[in-house]
Amino acid sequence: MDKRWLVGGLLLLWVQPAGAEEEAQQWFLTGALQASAGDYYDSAQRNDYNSAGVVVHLDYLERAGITFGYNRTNVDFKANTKDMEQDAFFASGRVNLTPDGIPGHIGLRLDGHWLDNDDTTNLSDEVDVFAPMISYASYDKQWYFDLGYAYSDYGDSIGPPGRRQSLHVSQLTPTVGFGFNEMADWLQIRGYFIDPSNSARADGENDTQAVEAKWTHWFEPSTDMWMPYTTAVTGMAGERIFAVDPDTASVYNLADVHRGALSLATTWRLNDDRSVILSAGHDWYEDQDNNDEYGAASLYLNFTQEW
Amino acid sequence: MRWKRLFWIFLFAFSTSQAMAEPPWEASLRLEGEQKYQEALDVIRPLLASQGSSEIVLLRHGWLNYMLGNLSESAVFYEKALALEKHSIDAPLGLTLPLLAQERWREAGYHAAKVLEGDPKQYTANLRMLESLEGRKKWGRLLAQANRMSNLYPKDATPLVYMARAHAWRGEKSQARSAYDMVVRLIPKHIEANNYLRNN
Repeated sequence: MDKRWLVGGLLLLWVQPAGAEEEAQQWFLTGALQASAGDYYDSAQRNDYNSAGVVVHLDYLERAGITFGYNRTNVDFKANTKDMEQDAFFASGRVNLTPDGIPGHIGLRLDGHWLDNDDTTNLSDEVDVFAPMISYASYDKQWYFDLGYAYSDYGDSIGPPGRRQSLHVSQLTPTVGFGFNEMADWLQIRGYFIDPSNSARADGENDTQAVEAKWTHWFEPSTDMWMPYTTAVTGMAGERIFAVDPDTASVYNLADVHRGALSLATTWRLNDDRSVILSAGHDWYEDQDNNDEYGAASLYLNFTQEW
Repeated sequence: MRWKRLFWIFLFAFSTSQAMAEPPWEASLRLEGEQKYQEALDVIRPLLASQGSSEIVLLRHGWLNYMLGNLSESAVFYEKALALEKHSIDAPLGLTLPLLAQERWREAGYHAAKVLEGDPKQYTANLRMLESLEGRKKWGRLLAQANRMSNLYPKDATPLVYMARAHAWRGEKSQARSAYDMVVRLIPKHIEANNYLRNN
């Protein structure tokens, strides 16, 4: 992977805007550089992976916005299996509505993912995802609800015509979030109800259910630069396969059952417009077809700048 | 004689009824004073048909809808007033009220900034900018804006309160105490300032 563009991007993000009186601004640009690396320990097939990408958000006031993202991932496989490189493209459009009679914001959002890799089996390749979502956030910031749906279409498996197997996946993600501890804490709970069309390509699974909980805590403000702005603990229990995560805008296109996850993410707010996120996580997987249980330990880093 | 008496009674009744037919604008103001905002709006609604292109009628509808909590409806009327009179100050400043209530901080800040482009010392626009920046959690920029406004209005406690809040959110407790201390000197019974000084 060519890291020069990553370094250059980091330098661009570090440009300090001069202090000035407030301008009449209607368009708001946010850019983020992200990178992650993980180790598949105890896996019979994979060694490790690394990934890097960029996300750009363009918002018109609070009314609407679009997002574009690109991520490049390299997966290192064990001997006799070709390593895999993947390009993942992401686009999202959103509208924020504030109708009278409803004490909060209504959000409408449509995400699209396009994944392309050189998986020799084609089982995780040619992935197209369309994911609409409707959300509600109360004005008093006490409550949040959303209902997301994702339809994923995977490329046909390799093989002679008539023997290739197709796969598409439907996913429902109902979500509730609420604040407590005088709004210093926030808890979000999301259900993943996933229905693959072809169990033969889904590690034998006809449908999977999982629940994910994320607890976020805001720290007391401090002048200590090492003091975080927030920390979040996220846990997932149950089973899910081919999940689409609306918060991280990621597609889990591994054809293995995801049996659990735990992560800790900390955010430092460097100034009004710049932040850093560092996250460490662990995932548990099972390749039921090959009776292979393994884990993945990972690190994630994100720099975000708003203009 | 009887007819004469009836004539005078009729004339008296007619005069009284004319005096009691209050002009809609005055009726609306009176009803607003009695906090009967819906009636105040209903009585001037017909003016939209006859004077819909009048900025003051649109502003009045915007204000009364805001007081009724019809925030989107309020914003629509203020936007119409602004479209009518692009150089108006009342329209964009009025518009910031429903926008801030709907937590549309950026948009409220935009209209406040447009007013400040023409008049950097405009009090209400400066105040709305403080509210916008606080809602967006831009603490450094809130501090700068509070300093600017406090320099313009040194005897005004409001920018000092926002200055104190910005310092507090940045973890700068001693500076927050100093700012709240100045607030208390201007308004000895200020609840927020006294609470902070007591607890920090």
